[in-house]
Amino acid sequence: MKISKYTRKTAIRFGLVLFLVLVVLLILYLVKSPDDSDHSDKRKPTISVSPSAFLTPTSMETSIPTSTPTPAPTNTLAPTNTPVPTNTPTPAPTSTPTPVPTYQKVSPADIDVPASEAVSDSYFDDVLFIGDSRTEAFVTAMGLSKATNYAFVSMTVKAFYTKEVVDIDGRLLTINDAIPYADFSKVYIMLGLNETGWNSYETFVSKYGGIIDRVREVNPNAIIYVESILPVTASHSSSHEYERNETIYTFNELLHQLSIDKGVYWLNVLDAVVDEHGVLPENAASDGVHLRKSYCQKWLDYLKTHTAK
Amino acid sequence: MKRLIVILSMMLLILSLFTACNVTPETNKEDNAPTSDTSKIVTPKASPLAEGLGAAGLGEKLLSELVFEDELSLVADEIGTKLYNITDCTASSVYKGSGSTAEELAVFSFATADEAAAARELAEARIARQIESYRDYLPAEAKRLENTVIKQSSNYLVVAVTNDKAAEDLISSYLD
Repeated sequence: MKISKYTRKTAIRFGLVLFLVLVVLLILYLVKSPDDSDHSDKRKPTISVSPSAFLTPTSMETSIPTSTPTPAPTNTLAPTNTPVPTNTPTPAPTSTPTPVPTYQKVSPADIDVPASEAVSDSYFDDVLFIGDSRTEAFVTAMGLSKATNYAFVSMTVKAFYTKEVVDIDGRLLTINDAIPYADFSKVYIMLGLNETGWNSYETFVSKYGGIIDRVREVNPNAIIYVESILPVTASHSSSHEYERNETIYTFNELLHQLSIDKGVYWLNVLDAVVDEHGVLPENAASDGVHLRKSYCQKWLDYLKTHTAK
Repeated sequence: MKRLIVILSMMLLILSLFTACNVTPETNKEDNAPTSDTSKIVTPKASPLAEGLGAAGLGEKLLSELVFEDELSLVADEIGTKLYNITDCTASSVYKGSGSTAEELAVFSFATADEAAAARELAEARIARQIESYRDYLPAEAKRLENTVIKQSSNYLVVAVTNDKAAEDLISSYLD
């Protein structure tokens, strides 16, 4: 078969045009492909992660109440006689005083909580316990798992403000700073045994009073119970350097007066555990101080039968 | 015409070579690499002895065989895990005393060895805090705490605050 020159030329031109088109398509295809992740994405399940999932505890802190007390208005805000020349009139600083939280003060006649019908364990679900190793062991032994237990070994009314012992999301805070993180409507405080060696009773009472104020600052409606300091055994009292029952009773008198002054409930819980001499029986504690489980039960029974109306 | 057919065939051939190149490195990895699905990781189990007892049984065994000066009692699960900040264990058994000593015994079991290893750090942190608390208050107890046995083997974690010198060997005999 003979093909004319015209037909051959036309075929070659057509072939060249087709070739060029294919080359262009090929280039476009190659340029687009390497960065195009659509294909690979379609093969994998898509996992959508919210940015909040990466928030660290630190970044979440903003939503947690801070324990920094609101600064009270000071005298520096009071107008002075010396005018301060300013080019532009600045608005006067708003010295609106922070509203003082109101709380119910218990009248002196009602300070001593009388015996009443026993409440159930659930009464302690919204309780905040503040204390030393004896309270720590008490809450643990009695299984009050829903209560907030800010009771720690060697705690004192001073260490309350300085010792970082409460673990809040991996950070250690003082009890003073950790109180706003606790969810409570009742508070039981028992502190004082570790302070019996102190020289200044005034410091003890003053710091103790500060704890009551701090609780009220955080929760003005909380029912506050001050528990008497439990005595130690006679043998411990006579042998220990400073943990003496005489001092404990002196402290308890001071705390009873403090409860009257502050208008909080006083629980003479030592009544539940002492013998006829007013001291801890020798069999109540292996070391003369820390109560065995059976005596913790007496303590709990007292709390359950002495609640504020 | 023959030449044209040859040229077109070659071009098609060249194009066909590129059709296999659109597999991204990621996809290749996905296809060829071994799976990274954690659910398929096989957790080595603790010794049959520990597995047979479970956290509660092992706790009871260790409590009866170890020497403690104070009388330790089992505490509520919620309180035990709160003390250690360990929330992801499958079972726990924590014993505490009256507070006259720093003694305590804790046994935790976990779903995986990784979780147990992470919890070991939490246990170490608790003991470190306890040492600080006792250092000025009861130095002898701080010393006892410094000798705490913390043993993690596969998915079990055991903590024993005791002066019993045989504690480590005894715990190992149940876990290894």
